Amino acid sequence: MKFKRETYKSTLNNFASLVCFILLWELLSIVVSSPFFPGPLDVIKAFLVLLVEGDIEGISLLSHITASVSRVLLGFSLAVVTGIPLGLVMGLRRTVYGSVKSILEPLRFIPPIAWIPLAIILLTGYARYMLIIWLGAFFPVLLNTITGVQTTNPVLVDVAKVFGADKKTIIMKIVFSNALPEIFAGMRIGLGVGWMCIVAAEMIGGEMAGLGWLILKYGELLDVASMVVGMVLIGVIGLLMNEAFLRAEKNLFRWRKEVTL
Amino acid sequence: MRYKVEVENVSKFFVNPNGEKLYVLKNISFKVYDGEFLCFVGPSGCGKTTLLRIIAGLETPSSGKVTVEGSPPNPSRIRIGFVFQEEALFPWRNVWNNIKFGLEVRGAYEAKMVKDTIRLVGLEGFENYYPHQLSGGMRKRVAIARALAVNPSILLMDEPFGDLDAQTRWIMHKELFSIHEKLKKTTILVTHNVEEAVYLADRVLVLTKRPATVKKEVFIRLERPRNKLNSQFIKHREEIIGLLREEVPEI
Repeated sequence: MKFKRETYKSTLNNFASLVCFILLWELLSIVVSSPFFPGPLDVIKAFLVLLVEGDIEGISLLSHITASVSRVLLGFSLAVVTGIPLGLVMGLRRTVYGSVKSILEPLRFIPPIAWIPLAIILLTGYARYMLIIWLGAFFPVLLNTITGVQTTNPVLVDVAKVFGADKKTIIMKIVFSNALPEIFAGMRIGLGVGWMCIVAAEMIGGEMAGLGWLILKYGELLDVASMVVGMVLIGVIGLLMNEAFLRAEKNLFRWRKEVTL
Repeated sequence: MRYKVEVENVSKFFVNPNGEKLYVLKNISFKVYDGEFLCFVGPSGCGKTTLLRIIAGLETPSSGKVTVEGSPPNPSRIRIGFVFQEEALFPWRNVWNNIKFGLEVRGAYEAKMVKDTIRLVGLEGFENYYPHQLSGGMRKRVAIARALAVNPSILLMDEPFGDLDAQTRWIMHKELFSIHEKLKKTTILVTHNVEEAVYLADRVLVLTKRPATVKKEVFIRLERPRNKLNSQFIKHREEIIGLLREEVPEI
């Protein structure tokens, strides 16, 4: 009961601050009164135009969105299928992690955007998107998997051993199950980071669709309102994906005492 | 009478960081009869847990021989029920799925076996609860049920009630007694609680301080259920406490 009331209250507060923000923004745009500083009304107008008519090349907003989302989901999936198995191996065999640390650790501090020239030289087409998004999503998945594996309670492994469980069973039923919440959190963060790489990826992908591409194109045209539409959409879609993940985590890991929301 | 467990001249040492051998068990020998309830009591840190882990096949002795049902303890061949000292339930599995775990691992899962075990330990209605939703005593019941569900040859318990409050512990003693009456499982219980040992055991092995050897075996031939205020009960209890005091004068 109390919880429900709190969520209700927080929704109300958020709604109020959003309204305030939009009002202030509108006010500021009136004060500034420049074609390069659109107010929320201009942005909404640009949004409607993009939605109904599509962009200047006639590509609909929906295809921009699906292009970006599918690219990110693909790159993210690649990060999941590479990050989880590697994380399991490195979590279980500390020597493996220790041996490749000097490669892995510097690598993860190179921002995806720094890879752009190399991606242009070495790769073409879809592979470019995949590389940039994978770079963003991979490390959170990998590192969280390693952490999750290493938090396995040795007593639980003993329980399985006493029942005669083999290595594979122990890894799947104990180590993996135990690491799963951590892995999911890593996936959520990875998806977020991957999504944030979309503009960088679409700078070099070459296809004329995608929200990142939309922003860049309207940037060049100095159509700031349409550009902001792309930005807001990236923000909102990112938020929705994160929320979806949090919901899933909350349902999947009800056995945990607390799930952060 | 047939022996269920035979421990012959078992020693176990660990090598400490200075490279010295640290003996925790030295030349321990004893036998456990089929259906017997055996307790180990001994000063804390004397190696009781290590001994139990060797019998379970979780550790190997440095020298000597352990056999369970005539062959070396091998969890993949012999069904062993082990109740750990620590909290050892799978937090991501509900009561039902925790209890079925051993059967699942052995590929012998049958809903009836889980159901029967749940009834035996009195957890009906809690099948869908997760460990964190249960009290300490109930979590212990789940741990015991999980060990019993595989119909083990031997039941090994490592200070299972150490972290419970006195009242819950007393209830668990009674429960364990009635479970043993029903199933007659060969049971080895490690405890530092002398009253618990005298209440439950057919025989108590008093261990010396590290490295542990068997100091004395005390047969408890009192009628069951036992009365903790009975003079014979108190006599046994005091005898064992006396033996322990020889090992650890501070008691």
